[in-house]
Amino acid sequence: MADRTESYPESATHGARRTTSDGEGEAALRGALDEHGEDLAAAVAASDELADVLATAVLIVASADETEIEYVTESSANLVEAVDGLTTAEAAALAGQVGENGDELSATLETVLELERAGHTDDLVRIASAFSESLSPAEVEELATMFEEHGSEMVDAVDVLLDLAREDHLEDLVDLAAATSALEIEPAAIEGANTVLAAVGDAQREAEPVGLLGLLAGLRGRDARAGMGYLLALLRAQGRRFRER
Amino acid sequence: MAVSDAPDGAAGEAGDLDGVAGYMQGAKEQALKNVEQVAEGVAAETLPEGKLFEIAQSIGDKRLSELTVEDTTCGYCAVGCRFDLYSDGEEILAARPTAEEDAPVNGISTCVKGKFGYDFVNSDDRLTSPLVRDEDGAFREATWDEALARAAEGLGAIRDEHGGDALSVIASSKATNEENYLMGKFARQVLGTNSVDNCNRLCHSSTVAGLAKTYGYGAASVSVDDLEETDCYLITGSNTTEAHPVIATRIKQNVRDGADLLVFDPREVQIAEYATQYSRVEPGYDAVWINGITRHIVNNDLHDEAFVAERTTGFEDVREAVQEFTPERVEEVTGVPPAEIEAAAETIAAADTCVFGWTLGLTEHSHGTENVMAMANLAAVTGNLGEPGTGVSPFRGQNNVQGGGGDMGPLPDNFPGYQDVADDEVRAKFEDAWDCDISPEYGYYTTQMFLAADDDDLRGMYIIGENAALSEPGVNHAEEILADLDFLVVQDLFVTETAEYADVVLPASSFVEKTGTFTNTDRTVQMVKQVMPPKGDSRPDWKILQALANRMGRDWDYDSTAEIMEEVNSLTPLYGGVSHERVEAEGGLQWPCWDEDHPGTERLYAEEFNTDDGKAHLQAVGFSEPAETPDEEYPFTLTTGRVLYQYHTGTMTHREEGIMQYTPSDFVEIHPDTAVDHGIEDGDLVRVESRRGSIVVPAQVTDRVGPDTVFAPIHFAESAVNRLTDEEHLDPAAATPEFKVSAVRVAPAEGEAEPVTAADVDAGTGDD
Repeated sequence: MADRTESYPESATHGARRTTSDGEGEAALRGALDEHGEDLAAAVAASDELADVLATAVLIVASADETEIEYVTESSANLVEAVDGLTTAEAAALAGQVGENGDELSATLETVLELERAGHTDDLVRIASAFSESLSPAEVEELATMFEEHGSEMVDAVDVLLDLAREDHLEDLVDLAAATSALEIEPAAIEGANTVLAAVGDAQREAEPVGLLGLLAGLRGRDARAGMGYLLALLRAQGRRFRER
Repeated sequence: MAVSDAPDGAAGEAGDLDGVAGYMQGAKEQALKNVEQVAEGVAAETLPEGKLFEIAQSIGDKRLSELTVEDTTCGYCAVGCRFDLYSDGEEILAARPTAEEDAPVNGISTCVKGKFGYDFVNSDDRLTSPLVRDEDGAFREATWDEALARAAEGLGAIRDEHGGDALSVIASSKATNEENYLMGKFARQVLGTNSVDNCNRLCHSSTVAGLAKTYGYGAASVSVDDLEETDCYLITGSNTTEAHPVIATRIKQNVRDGADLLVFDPREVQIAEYATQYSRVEPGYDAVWINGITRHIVNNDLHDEAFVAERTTGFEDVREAVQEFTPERVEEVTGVPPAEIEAAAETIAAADTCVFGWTLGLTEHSHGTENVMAMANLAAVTGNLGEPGTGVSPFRGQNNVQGGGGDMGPLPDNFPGYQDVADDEVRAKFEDAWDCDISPEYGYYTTQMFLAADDDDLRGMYIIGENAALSEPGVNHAEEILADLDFLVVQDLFVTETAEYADVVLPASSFVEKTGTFTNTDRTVQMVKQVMPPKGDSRPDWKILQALANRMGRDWDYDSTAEIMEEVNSLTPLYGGVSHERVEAEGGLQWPCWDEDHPGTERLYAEEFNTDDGKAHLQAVGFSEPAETPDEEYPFTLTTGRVLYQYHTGTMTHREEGIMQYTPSDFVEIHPDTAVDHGIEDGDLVRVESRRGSIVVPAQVTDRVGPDTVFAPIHFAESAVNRLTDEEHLDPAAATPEFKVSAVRVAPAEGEAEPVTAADVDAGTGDD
């Protein structure tokens, strides 16, 4: 017979054995935040990885809306040509057109800035930490809750993030973004494309050989919107090149 | 990225924006610039896509090579999702889809718990060393040697003085099949008792009893494929989207593509939003409306005459028994209007195929077995069995309650494979294999154990991975019993509310730390693989059981769970052809699988039922009502259930911070009219009181429930809704308690609602 006893030695638990490496990055960031107050930029600048992943995160948030996706998928036949070689005048025209629309994409980014203007720098550190630790899933979930307070636009964007995380694309993307800087091949050119790579890579791994047309048809889903965002930006740049020629 | 660019950009291009705003602005510009550069690169073909793809692959491969990756089966619910888990040896880093042929049930889908719910593995309060009591009764850390010696001594003393019958084992449906087999063997061979049971008693044992009596097997007849292709569903008592999200997704997709979905439930649960017909029912009268549907069908000759004639017995008895359930009577008792009964009956009869799905809303009653038999009758008279897209589908709750909780026989009346303890031939087989004497008398069911302990017929318990102090009905009583036991051993991941009463606590390993098999809700045996080493000094249940058995005079010598499965299949015809090797090679095997050449059984009853004459034995089911109905003093019906982001008593999910943000605390759902009548507003604290106890929780005012019903979730120790439920009135056939109906009253309570804090979470809650 034993009386109910709620306490027990902590030494018998995992907590007592845990090494302190976990969360070091976050602790350092928080320390820096405390010390420098609003001057967060310095703290962020100190972390290479953070810079990478934040930039990437910002890009992911810049996802396309339904109309844009519709537009692109309807034009998918032309897009294939455009992406494949950019050789025809048609493709050039299309790219130019999409490029102009693509400018609107960046408007979404403003909501990120809104978050900061509302004084949520602390939250931003949490985002940064979440990303830097390969997106602890709980943190990602937490973000959704937090963002709910910042308008539907933001929620939409974060939904995309969450969808990506659930489909594993987001981790691929962050991994790639963080790792690419270690490579010697045209680093400046590679990083922004990592999203596209992850999507293309996954699609190629998963799917039967449907080619780019099939791939684009598959992009109707919300989880692929971020990829579309990149594609639009890509075409925008291509459009400009053609106009400049 | 050329990292330094971003902050430079932040400083240089962001103008008057400081701090993070400046940084973000810079990052944005930098990122867009990067995209343009990439675009230019692609356009200039300096970086063809193929090259980029190669780079992506090689980076990915290198990173993954540093991690352990294993495909395994989810340890939350019994849908049986499989996926790859990634670990660095310390924690679970990610869950990703595995090869589709290795995930027959879920493909690439997983729900929030399976995908994200692993913080519990590394929780600070995860027990990593055994605990024993010191001379003052306080817990102290002990070596395995000492803890096992104490456990053997305590259990052995009771066995020697009072006989094995004074001991019981509560097995864990969270553990693997192999471990559950050993739990049953341990009880009978080492302790000498048939009193071994598990959480199935609190949930689907009435399903098992009802289906076994009518069809022969106490299990779902369907495969998950049937759930995807049927033309019609009748779902009742199942909060499918929250408790079995991946199955719910399949159902929703099929309904979107044109299948009919009939939902009968006291709460307008989320799956009802997708239904072609939702009917609200009064809790506790399921057999009444089901019989009403059957009556309409047989009285209008809508039944499947050929099926009934060729494959069933007892049809005339059923026809006669359902006559009392006229549309008027059904409406009077259950609140379902005649037109809805008729519409449901006509829909089922008109559909080419129909699946009948349910969970605990049908079973957790003092007459749950009758409810299940009424449903089994309906499926049979409409001929919806044995063909693709047809069948009965109880959605099981615990990850391994089908296999570990049932098939492996940690049951007071059955050996593995539902072989009857009272059958002399069967018993002789096990006595011979296990080298022991086994009583032909059935042992106690879990619910009965707590009643037997009241009379000192039970003096010691060995509770494995079950949080009886929270999950048993009438927990005030359960707590008294646990405190009064002569000796209690608890084996768990945490010091649960139950472990707080233990003399010895043994630290067990979680499903990501061991290898074995689980059997899911459609009878598929699937591999569970070790992804990381056991935390601290914790051990897998099978190793603990082996060590304890050997301390108590036995000579167990299993090197692996594969070896244990060899013993299982040699003694269990249903699993005759199941081995780790085959399960691994074939990506899952559905029982019955009689021998090594048998391919497994996708769908039960295609040819015949598992009865002596091969026919379904339909059972006349008359009127039944809850043991406790509302009256003037306690005018409302309390029904209990689950929410998406939580799991059972919260041992696993309460340690997940993200999840706790979604559903951090208990609540009670109250209809708006009822709330107005009692002066209750949304968020107010409310006292909910039954004849057995009371709890105080915040009100959630919603028309999801009817005006005479209130609903509370089961997941929280802080308010322990099972203080209100009834431990005495049990289903006569299955001994399932009536969790779904208790008469209660509600009143505003003083004070502010307090959400659960991190401290509460750390204090821990239990598991079942």
